[in-house]
Amino acid sequence: MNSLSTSERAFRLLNGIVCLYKPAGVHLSGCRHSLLLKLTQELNLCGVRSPENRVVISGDTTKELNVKVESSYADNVLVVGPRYQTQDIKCIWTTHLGKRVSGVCVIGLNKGTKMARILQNNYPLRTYHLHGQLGIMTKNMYIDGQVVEKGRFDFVKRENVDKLMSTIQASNQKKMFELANVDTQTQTAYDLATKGLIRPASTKSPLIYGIKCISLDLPNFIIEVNIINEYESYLLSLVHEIGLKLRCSATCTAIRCIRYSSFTIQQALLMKHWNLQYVLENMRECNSSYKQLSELPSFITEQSYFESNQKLTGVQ
Amino acid sequence: MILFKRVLSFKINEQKQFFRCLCSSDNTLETIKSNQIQWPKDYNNVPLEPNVTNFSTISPALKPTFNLAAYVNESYSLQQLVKLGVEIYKFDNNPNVMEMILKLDFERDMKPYIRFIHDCGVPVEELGKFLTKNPMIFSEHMDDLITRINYLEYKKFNKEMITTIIRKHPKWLSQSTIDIDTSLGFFQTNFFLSGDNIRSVVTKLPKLITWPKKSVNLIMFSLIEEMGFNKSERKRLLQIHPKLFVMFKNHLLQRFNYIHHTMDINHDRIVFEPQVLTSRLFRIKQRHEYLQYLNRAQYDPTKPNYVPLSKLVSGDDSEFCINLAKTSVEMFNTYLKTNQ
Repeated sequence: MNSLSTSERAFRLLNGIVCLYKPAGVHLSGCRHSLLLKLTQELNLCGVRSPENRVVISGDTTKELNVKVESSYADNVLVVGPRYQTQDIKCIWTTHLGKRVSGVCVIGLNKGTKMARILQNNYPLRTYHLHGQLGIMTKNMYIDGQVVEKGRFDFVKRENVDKLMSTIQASNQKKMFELANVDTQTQTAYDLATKGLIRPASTKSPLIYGIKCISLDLPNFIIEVNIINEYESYLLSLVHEIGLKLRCSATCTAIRCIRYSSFTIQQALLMKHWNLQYVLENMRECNSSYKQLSELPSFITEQSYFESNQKLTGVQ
Repeated sequence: MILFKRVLSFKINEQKQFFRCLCSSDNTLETIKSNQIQWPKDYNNVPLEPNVTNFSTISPALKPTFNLAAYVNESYSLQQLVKLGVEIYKFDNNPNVMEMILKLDFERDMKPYIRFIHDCGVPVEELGKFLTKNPMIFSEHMDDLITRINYLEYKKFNKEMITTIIRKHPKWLSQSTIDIDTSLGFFQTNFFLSGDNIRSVVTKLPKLITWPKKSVNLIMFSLIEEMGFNKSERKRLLQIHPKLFVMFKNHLLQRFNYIHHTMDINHDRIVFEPQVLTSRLFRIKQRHEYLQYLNRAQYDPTKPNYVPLSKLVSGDDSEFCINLAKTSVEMFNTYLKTNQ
């Protein structure tokens, strides 16, 4: 172990998942780039291996030849470039967060890419905070868009909002059984329901498991949603629809993911902390929580996932 | 389709040219010398006789390559450059530089230039950085370089000023005197600068003089029409913080809009502390919103608890929390997670 340089030891530890706090207004690919750039920069700074040796044979061929071992210039850092480059680290994200979405973002590094893929295949539940503003409607349903309509909102009461939230939740609970292809009045539906959350069979259609209004301070409001298979524009249109159902208009001002499966916002790393030390600490924490997750009976390991995948392809 | 083919063929041609330039550079590496081999007289009859000729001068031919790393072990000049600390891998994406540098001999072609740069005041430690930034200096004529230095002396730049200009901006020496003269004239007439003023601007940011005039004009337009700075304010901005003129226009406008409209800071204060405009938007936003949350966002110097703009953006988060926000860093971090 002593023969390895510090950076090599650090690189070997970079296997697993990290939980980052993605800021709004930056694309996820940009986030990945800045994370990898910072990691490789620090790896290059903390002692890389010295250049390899090469054997040089010189002198007159008719006499005894000189055999020397000297360090190869072709392997010098100045000639071949930095030892660690961004494309050396494998990196994938689990759920794609749009540009406007901020919050928890789980990323798999090196061998952790496999873990990230398994995690994503388990249909993890996400919790979002949707910040909205009543009385204004924009073209792209977000606050930075062109304003289309302005209106009154003072008639909206807490009861109206709560009532609407419970209707949305009830209709989605019905949809849950529909997506699982079972009748609500049967034994199979009961069996499914006893196992825990009914997860959708496809990754296409979004499904709301719980929705509630956590603050209403006119004209601003915050809604907490537990959701699967969501995407950015779905969340935007959800806020828009809530506005319409309340008989006024609403736009989204911010979307924040506060929980991804068991990864919460408390352990997420802020952008200024995306460096080697913090990432390694965070990775240890996240890997242990992943281990806890994988021991749960409902967690699908890779083998059973492949089997179910084969079945699906067989049906098709 | 035809267009696509044309583009493709163009690319291939370029590639071929690239190969050719590396192959055809006859005897570029000083180690290869053509030698007549003297075979033993009875070589064809008794091939197993012990060898009497010296074969050490014969070596396999160098193959075409995409990077200089393949040649560096054979080339004395490149090895000397590595010893100086030049980052050779940065030349790999530029065939012109590669071709030029392979044809040079260290003692004959490079030494006078390196000595010249050193005489101009660039210390030995910075030679590598200088040559990494501007390798094309070897292709300039020596008299041109001397003329360019003489031009600066003629324009009453003193020795220290010339040294700082060259150290900050190595590519200055590759610009012709005419270009530099027109560019200095451009700034002097557009901003009504005196001789001393322009000299201080040049030493502060030599990059600005060789910066494309198109983007400088764009920034000027933005400052006049979109932000509304008047003549004397623009002059002051250039003198205090010339970096504004080499920025990306959209970034500048975004930051100005946030500072002027959201933070309610007038033009006078911005001109007084223009460093705010060069700090990134998310940094200004985070800190301003946190101060607002604490009811400390007070940017008027005549009132108590005044927060200077330059201090708002400078320093790391712990300094900001202790000096301005007067809270712990942990609290700031948790605030950031609840806010954006």
